Amino acid sequence: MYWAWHSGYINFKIEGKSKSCPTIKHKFQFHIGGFEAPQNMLRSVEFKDINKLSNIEIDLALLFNNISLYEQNTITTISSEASEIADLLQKCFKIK
Amino acid sequence: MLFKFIYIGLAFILAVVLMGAITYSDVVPFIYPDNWPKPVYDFKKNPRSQSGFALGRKLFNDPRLSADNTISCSSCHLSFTGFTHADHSLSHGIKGRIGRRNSSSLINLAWNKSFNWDGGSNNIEVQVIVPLTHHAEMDNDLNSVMKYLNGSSAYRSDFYKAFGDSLITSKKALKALAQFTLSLTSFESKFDSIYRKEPGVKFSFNESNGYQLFLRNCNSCHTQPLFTNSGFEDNGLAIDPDLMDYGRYEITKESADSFKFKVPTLRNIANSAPYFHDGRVNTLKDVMKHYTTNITKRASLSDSLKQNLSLTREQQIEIVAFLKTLTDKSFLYNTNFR
Repeated sequence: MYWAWHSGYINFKIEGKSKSCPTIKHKFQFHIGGFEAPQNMLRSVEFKDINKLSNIEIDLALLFNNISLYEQNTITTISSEASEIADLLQKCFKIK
Repeated sequence: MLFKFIYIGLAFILAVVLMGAITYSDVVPFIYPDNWPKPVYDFKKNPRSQSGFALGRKLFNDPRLSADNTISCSSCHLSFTGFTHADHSLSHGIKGRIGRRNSSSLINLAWNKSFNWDGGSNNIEVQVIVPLTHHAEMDNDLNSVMKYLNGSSAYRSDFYKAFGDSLITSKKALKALAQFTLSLTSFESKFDSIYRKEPGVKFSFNESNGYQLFLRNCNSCHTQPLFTNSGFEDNGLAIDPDLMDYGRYEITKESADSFKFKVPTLRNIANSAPYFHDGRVNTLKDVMKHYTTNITKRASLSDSLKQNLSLTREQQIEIVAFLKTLTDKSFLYNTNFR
């Protein structure tokens, strides 16, 4: 997902609906991207003991349990809020 | 005069190419004056060729790149106005949709560090994706464009000539477009002849005074010989309440970048009205009026404009006379660019 207006990529994107969102059609959208300091959304995740049979899983509950969709439901550009989401996403990756 | 000779050399190379002695490896060197800085663009990653240039020009003029086949790049970037949109403060894209910024001139782009008024694009090749996909411009997507191009046997043949491969990818299309836009170089104005100390060319009295005033008042941002410092500045224009455009801030989200826009080149400025990022004024006289009477004071204001420029009416006329020496007719009326 290329960000044309601000050269770079949306590194993480999730959109959906939740009754918690006081938005039009109860929609939420998170587009997390941007790579230039001081608003750098790139995060590294390092896996030790990874092998051919390993599955990388993304635990989205960790993201949604840590944000309030009532207050935070629309992020489509760089911001400190986007950076907080990027920090949470970093913790969502797990090997199984 | 040096590059006159190089031109002859180039003409020879082109003649060889046209005779078919060389196909897609017909590399054409990028020519610029000796006393200029080195270009920012890395031509090694996109070697110039006559066939690449011709393909880029064809793409630039093809309205079928827009969602409803009505708007081409050249709709808003016309050669005889320095590749900006004559008489349009804001341009209209497909279906009469109006954008919020004045169409930029396309001149000496190989020296640009970033693109668009807010510098949101960091490379000339990917810049194209902005107008191509923008709702108020061509409103298309790369997949549709590639489908159209690959469906055209003429384009497949053009891509084969340019890249030695008839499979059309977005990377090749964007590189071909860049070959064309990077070729839009302008350094044959009266100013240039004087800057290169060519014999027999002199400023008039007004132009000469204007040049000295320009160096003292304008050159820190509109730095010769490119007439831009490639930076972002707040030049004190009051915000337009209909557009609410915060410029560079919208990219960096740094409050210090509020109201900053990329410093545009002044080359061919006499032919590229209307002026400023939203095309709010129509004449160079009105541009001078802004800088001498109308600077909006705020934290982000350019260090060079902490107060209105102090210039008499005569001095303003002299600066405008100098600016007109930046008109390069061999660039504006170059039929090879159309």
